[in-house]
Amino acid sequence: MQTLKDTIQGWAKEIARRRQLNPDKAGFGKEMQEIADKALHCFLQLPDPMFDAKARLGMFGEKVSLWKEMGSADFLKRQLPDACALFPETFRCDIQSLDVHQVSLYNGCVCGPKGKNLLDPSCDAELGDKACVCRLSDLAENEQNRARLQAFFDEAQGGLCSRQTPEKVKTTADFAQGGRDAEMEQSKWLNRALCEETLVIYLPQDCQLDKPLQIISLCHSENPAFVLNHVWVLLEKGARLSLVECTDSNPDAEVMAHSLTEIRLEEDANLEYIQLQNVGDRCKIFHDFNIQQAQSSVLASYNLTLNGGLTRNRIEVNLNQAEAHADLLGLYLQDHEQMASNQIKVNHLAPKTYSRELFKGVVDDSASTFFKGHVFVSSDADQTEAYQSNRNLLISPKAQAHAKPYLEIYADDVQCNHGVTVGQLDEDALFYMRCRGIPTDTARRLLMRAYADEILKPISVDSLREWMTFLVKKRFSGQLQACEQCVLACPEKHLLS
Amino acid sequence: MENKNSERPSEKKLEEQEKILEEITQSDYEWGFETKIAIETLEKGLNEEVIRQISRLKGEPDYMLQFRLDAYKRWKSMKEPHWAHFDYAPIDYQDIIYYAAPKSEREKALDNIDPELLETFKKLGIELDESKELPKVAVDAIMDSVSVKTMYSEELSKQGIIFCSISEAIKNHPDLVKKYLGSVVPSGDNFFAALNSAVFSDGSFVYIPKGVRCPMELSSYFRINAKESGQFERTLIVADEGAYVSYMEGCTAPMRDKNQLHAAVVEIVVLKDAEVKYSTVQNWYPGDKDGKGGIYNFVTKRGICKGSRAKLSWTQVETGSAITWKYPSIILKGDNTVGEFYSVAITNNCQQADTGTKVIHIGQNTKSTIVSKGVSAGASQNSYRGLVKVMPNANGAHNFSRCDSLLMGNRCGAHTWPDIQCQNDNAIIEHEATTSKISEEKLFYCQQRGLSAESAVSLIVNGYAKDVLNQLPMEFAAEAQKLLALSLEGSVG
Repeated sequence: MQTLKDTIQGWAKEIARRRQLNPDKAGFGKEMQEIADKALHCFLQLPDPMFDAKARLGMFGEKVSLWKEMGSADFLKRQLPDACALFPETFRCDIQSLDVHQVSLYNGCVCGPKGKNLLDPSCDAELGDKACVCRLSDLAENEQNRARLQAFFDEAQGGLCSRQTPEKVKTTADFAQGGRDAEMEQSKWLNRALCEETLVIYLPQDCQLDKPLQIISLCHSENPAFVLNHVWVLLEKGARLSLVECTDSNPDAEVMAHSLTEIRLEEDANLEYIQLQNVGDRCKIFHDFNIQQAQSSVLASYNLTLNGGLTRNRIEVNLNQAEAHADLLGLYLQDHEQMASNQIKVNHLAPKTYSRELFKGVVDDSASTFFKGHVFVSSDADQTEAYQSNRNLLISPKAQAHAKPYLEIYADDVQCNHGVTVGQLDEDALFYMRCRGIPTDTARRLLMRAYADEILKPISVDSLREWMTFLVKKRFSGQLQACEQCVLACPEKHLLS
Repeated sequence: MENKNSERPSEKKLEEQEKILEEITQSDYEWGFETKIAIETLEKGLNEEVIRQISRLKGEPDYMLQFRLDAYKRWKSMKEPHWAHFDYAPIDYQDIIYYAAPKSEREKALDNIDPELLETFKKLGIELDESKELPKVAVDAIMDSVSVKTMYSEELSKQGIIFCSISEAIKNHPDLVKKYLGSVVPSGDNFFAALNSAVFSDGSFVYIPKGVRCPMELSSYFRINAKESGQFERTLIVADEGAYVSYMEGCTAPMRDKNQLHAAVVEIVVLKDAEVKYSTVQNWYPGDKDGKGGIYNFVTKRGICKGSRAKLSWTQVETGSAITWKYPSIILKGDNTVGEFYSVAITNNCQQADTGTKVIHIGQNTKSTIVSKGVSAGASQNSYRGLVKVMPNANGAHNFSRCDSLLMGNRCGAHTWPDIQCQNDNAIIEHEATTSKISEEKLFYCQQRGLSAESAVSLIVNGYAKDVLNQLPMEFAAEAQKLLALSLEGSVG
């Protein structure tokens, strides 16, 4: 019988074959393959119970987990998508007047000519020379960038050799090591072993793009498939970027995707990251973020889950140096039998660091949502500020919300708090509106929109924010089932007008 | 460096503060004396024969022996849980004495009790003499594995209240024991509950009949005295329809270099319209300042509000024990039932506490309140771990949780691990928590008004814990406040 181990080994072989067919000019294929081999080796070394779905479930009964999905028999029926097929021409982005640089990932493969910077050709020539948006192998073309590449290899290797956790983090209880953190690492191995191409976004010192960068990550498959994405973002000292990542699928796609986004912010770098997940009901998205922040770097991230059968975002933020600042916001709107899980771990490892988590959800029908926040403050991280908040609106009798807001604190000079609420719309507010002649349904939608607005308001890309607000509005009025933005042959056009 | 000068005074201040902290943390555990009385013990180790022997020594009927053996079988197949935020050397369960009893027989008349024993309890502030005109509190005093004396039993029995040691209840009230023992905490519930079910030696049994309001506070006092022994007490409280009882529990142990295990089970059944208030001041020996010795306190406490409008309230002040593993839980099964949990947990030196509560809303319009205040000082670890679960039928359920932590010093840790599961769209759950240190402003304000640093901290901590202390019965409140002050006075971080 074909086992999970066999399947993954088979896939790894296929990926290696594809790599050989298509060698890099820069000759980094060998190194990449080495990392992939090593990662595969680590992965297969996992103790047998890890490959047994039941045994794994015991670990804190995590309801949404990559492991659990991979353990199911259905997973073995999945296939890798075809080798770098062409990006469908019918595809277009529907965000009105969104003026961005665009780069596309099609089933995990980077679209566009090889050996080139994929930045918009219209872009300022000087800027185009400095900033890089390209395949990892293409980054090596430029001598100057080779050093950067080395950093990437070190990081990739480091993740495989050690637990990569600083000494301080090791004092965490057993479960943190055996449970969630371990899964993060293991899924990294899986990604490195099976992901064919890496998209690199590299901004050198003080570089700033003239407009936001949009990554369109499209999952498109007629058959059940397993897609792997890998994006590596490096912002050097003082660089600034506004990055929008849209994950979409064709409405009836049956794709399971694992995405790994590794972000490294050097001193004073500033990243605004907006993630928009809007895939079909039969898609399962597992997205892992690993973020390393240096001194005074600023991160503002928005995880907006509009639609998807199962969505699991796991964000690990390491505030490695003083005054690093992370603002993590999230909004999830779930209905039918969808599941959304947001797991956020923020490690405060240096003094005067700041983090805020605000995740809000609306749960309808038989949907269920999970929130697991974990703020870790090491004993060096004095004058840390950490805030964690999760709010859930349950609007149907079968909806479920689960929350685990954890604080783990080893420093005394800190300000930390967390809050969770599960509840309904304010009856008084509804009554107030109804008194004034607003029908119940409209009043409810109005309140829900106001509720969601707190997350959307700070988004700095105006057109995107407006579009999001519009999508949320449509979502609440029940018109939006699957992705409407950036989809193939979208039936309804110009909805905004 | 420019600000080097400005840093100096604060360094000096820090040193001073550390000195005060050290002085305080070195203050001795004043209940750490040992009573020299003749005791009889069983051999170390645990096997079926030991369990039969315990049962024989206590002259138990056969059903109890079967209960124990069944639990032992379950225990053997279980593994010690390690999910709590602890770090301790493995416990050797074969290196523990499972039964230790003062040699003198338990007697109704005071004269027959070993005077040494009476003296011990007197030193602990417990008067076992009913003739003295003190505020009436009925005490069940338990030394190691046996109940030494239960007070006012006769007076209480006039109203139909049963207050006796569980050993007596097993013999004299088998129908009640059979019906309720293990009904809230089944013998296979968890590793420590299973161990307790197999080897429990004594504890208190309370039954309040229908419509009776218990006229006095009931209380049990636990004392570990024997060396290398563990204490496994079992408490069962049943409040029949419309009854009310307030129950208090206190505990201490001598100072010893070796860790001692304490694994208790407390079960509470609250029937229709009844109310039970259970208060604990836990002050087991916490070990010395290097973390040597101390009690390992692994306790399973759970109550069920079975009928409508039943109410259960847990209040706990946790200051002792090297390790505290304790989650007094509430099952709100009846409609309109109310559950409350108030806790202050203070850890110092190398103490580790992982404590909190579990509330499960099953009935409609059930309400629960959780207030937990943690204070960590020294190199201690203090965790709140809690579960709030609302089942699909619990319409109108309402939970409010608040868990705050206060940190003193840079070597300790304060953690919160809440879990909230809501399966009902009609429920309202609110959870909030904060972690911080005692603010400089507050300290400055107090000190400006002539308070010393120590009394300022004491004042602030007492104020911080007030929500919980207010819930304690009067007799306990004074003791708890004293304990608080003792554990923390002057620990300016």
